[in-house]
Amino acid sequence: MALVGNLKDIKLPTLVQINCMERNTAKLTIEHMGRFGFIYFHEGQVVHAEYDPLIGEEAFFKLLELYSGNFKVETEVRAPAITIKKNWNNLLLEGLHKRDSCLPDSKFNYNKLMDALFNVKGLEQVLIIDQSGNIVGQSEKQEVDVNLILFHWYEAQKISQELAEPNPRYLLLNQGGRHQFLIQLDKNLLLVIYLVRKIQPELILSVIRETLKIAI
Amino acid sequence: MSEKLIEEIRQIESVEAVAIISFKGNVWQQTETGIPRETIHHIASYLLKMAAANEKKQQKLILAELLWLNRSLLARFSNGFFILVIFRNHEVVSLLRITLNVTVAGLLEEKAFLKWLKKEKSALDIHLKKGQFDEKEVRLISKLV
Repeated sequence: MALVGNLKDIKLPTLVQINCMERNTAKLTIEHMGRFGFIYFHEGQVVHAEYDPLIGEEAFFKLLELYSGNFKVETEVRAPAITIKKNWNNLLLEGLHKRDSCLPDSKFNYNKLMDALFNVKGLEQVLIIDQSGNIVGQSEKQEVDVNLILFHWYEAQKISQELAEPNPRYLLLNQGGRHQFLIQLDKNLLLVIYLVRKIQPELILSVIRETLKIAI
Repeated sequence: MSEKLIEEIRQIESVEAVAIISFKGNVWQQTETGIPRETIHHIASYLLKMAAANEKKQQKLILAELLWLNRSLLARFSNGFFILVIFRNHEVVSLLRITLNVTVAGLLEEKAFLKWLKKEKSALDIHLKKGQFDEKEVRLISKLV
């Protein structure tokens, strides 16, 4: 029987570790926003990966950047080709290092934050944008209206000025079935979280405080 | 009846201001508070701009919640109006949310309010077209597709 789930619940590095430590021969399929990726294990080693148009190590490293997406593990499925020869442990470490170092220079560890936030149930999407509207970090490549987010935050700042308050700690908007949560991480960065169910904002704030060690 | 509803909100611990505002930006009722009426009016205009921007993206704004260190704001939107509450103790936020839902339902049963609301009928997008805007607002609004 295949093991199925979502990367929001089990992280990809954990899935890789499990399959390698169990010395599995298996095929791991990941579906993310309509794109499919595959990782093949042979007796506990990662031997092949595909993530269109990438193949081999490059595909494996790209897949490690995913924080959400449905997955399926089918055992006893053999790889169609051998494109990876590196020991799984080294491969995983290299991949995680690449993933972290490809992010822009910042005092914040975005991946750590994303990992921690996705432990909160009901969280749909996370992105970090700067004041110019550039996306600096995103959990999935889903289209978002950055200008709408910036507009909301700017109006919230104007309300703050009216009340002679500093910038708000957060702005939470209930948009029907979806909640948009805006938190200022520092002068330049805004954390945007989309939730599919109501969550106590304090829970999110405490995750951010714990992960980034910042006062928020 | 709406006086009673608004009074129920005002009596919740630490509530500083309550106002019922139409999508035109006019106030149906407002508690006398330490916050100047003009300030409430300005805040309402910013909240209406937010709701209008949402509507432009076919997203209905139901509730906006803002938190500062020692102050919070809740705006509960319904068809054609919203209720604005400014309060000090954030611990009462859940009670306020529930009370606001009850208030919205109560207002929608009040004939005098509904009559006023009918006169106040206005499309939200007017708040992105007319009024006072600074440069940044103009720039961001122009980018809202």
